[in-house]
Amino acid sequence: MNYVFNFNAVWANWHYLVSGIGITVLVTLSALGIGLIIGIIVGVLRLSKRPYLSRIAWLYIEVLRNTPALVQLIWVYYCLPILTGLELQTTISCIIALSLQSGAYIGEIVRGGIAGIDRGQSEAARTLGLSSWQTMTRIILPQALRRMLAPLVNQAVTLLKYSSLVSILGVADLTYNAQVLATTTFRPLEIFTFLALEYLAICSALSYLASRLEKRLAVAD
Amino acid sequence: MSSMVKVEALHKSFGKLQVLNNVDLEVATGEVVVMIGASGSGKTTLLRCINLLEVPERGRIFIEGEPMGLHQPDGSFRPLADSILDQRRAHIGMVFQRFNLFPHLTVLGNVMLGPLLVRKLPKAEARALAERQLEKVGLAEKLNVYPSKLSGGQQQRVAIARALAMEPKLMLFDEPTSALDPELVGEVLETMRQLADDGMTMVIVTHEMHFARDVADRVCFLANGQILEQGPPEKIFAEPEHERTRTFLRRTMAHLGEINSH
Repeated sequence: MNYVFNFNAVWANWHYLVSGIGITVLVTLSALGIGLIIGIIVGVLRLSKRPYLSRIAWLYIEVLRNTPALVQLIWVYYCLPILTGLELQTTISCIIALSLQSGAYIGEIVRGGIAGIDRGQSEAARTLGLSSWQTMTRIILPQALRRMLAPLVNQAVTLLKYSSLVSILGVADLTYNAQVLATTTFRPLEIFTFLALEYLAICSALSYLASRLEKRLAVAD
Repeated sequence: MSSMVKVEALHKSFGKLQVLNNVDLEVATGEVVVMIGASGSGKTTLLRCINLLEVPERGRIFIEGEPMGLHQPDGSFRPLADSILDQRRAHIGMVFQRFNLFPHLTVLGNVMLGPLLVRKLPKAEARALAERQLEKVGLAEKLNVYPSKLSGGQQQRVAIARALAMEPKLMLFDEPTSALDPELVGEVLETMRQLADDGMTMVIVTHEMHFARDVADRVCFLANGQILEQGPPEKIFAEPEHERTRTFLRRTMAHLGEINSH
């Protein structure tokens, strides 16, 4: 290999390259937040004693886990407006698609977190006269969320990486900016290497944060 | 004497295994009833049916004359709506073998939770009540500690205080000392003894035969999902009618004697 790396294109344009981070973070955090709400609902329904509720939640999880994120993204962007008549901003479409998808994964995390709580906890709560809603929100979820923390951060890392797909639809995130710069400077090798390093830095920082948080919670136990 | 608990013709199976076979039980207000028997005899299941943690297939359950379920013409049992059962359960305290304290709440938080959420007491009042109950079980100085920092005996006493903070009419104890180290059993039994002296109606499943003899008004011996024999402790322990009761008592008492002689 006799390619000579020249990072000048990167240094000269680093500001533009990094500027996509706002969109990347916005898409990731929004999808994570909405996904968390969807995930808690789906995860709780999955454990419902009413068979039709748990079947619906199961179906939701299966469909979204067994279709590619890229296909979901394109489907929400092209097909949903035709079906519903709603014209959505591209960024909003991307957030919807990634929220639906992370909701399915988080639903499984929530289900596992809840199922891992000893049955004696809900028995003790019900014996005090707490309703099933109070038992879930005051006793089960606070304990389950703590157990879910590590898998949730994993999900955030996965989501951050998936967010790069929005560049396909022209949303100006980190990846999109890199593509633009690569085609204008003819230095794709350097630029995509730099891009990978950007994701690596963010994702490892996130994982580090999670391990710190987990240690602190473990001490509090 | 008025009736606190009345159970009639209770049937309960887990799959093919019949755990309760046509059980009747009545507990008077203020009475202390201890249920003994080998493991698998159905005593814990019977206790858990009283507050419907376990739902029987057939039978009738009344607390202070109020039914806990809809009694179908064919004898099958259907529990009442959750909203009604929640209210009934609020008056029935329960203490579990494995304590089941809420690990994410402090001792005070555990004891205050029911008064705050179910009885809807103002915070200051709930706190004062919780502190009073914790003082009663001798843990006034552990208010802000998390359960995991306590010994098993202390945890079980917090669990008793948590149940008492609901000011229940009836207390159910499911092998409350079975998960404890031997040297911690005494403090829990002492708390229970005080409760009995205060006139609390109690149904207790236990293997502590000395406690049963000293505290119970009535002892029920269960075998094969039935109450084989019941009566005042002096009678059950001194001159049991059934051979199975005699065998059971001989075994457990011999075992206990061994422990006590150390």
